[in-house]
Amino acid sequence: MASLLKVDSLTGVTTAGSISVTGEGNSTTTNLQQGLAKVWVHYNGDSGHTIQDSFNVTSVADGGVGRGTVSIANDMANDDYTLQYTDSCPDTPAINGLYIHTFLTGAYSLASVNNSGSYTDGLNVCSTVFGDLA
Amino acid sequence: MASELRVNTLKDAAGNNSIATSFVAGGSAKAWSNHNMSGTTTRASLNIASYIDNSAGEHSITVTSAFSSANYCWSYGGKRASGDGTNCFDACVVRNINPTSTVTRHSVKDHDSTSDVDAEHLCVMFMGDLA
Repeated sequence: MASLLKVDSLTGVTTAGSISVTGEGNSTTTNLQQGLAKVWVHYNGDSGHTIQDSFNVTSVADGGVGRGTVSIANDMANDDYTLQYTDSCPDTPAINGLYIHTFLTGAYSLASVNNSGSYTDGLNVCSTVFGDLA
Repeated sequence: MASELRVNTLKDAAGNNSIATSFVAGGSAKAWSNHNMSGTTTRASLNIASYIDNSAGEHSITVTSAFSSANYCWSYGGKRASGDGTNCFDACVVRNINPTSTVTRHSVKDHDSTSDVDAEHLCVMFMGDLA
């Protein structure tokens, strides 16, 4: 039984973009490609939207106070993908809300707001995308 | 050509970027979803069986392949119909209805008024062990 496989790419036999992986319970399978995050990024919303770390991201544009647009390197197949996010907030004013402003195949934008509903810069904006690559 | 490959570790052809297959299985999302809470159909999803509209701002999501327990993890994203600051919302699992290995019940409230609202895009991602 192989314990180490060296390979640069994985492709399904029946369908190139579909490989099954056996789950932790040793019986149910899950789809490898569908379960992988296609985009993730951690950027500073208060200092030029500097990317701290990322995957499949070309840039984060400053869209004004509290707003940033993440450009995706390899586009998603459509704008139906799922997108989760979180943020840390400065002491004053507290950020109580972060939400998605736009979904596009090649980009998405997030906005952070304070208690009053006004845009305010977050400190550590993190987001992750799951869905189909183009 | 093999249809099933059993291996403990993956590396690139140069022998770098090693990752145990346990991380491939454990680190992959087991379910994710994007749906409009005005209805009960998916925009896109993985391992999602159905949505139940319990009331305004409150939907149950059922996965197709069950988790091994009710202790899995989830996280949110979303968008209201209008994308300005006053349309921010908060999402969480309903506190008095415990998740099961297949079902979670989610609540979305307007951030300012705390009234129940349907998100135009409710995005949920689930991580954990499959049964």
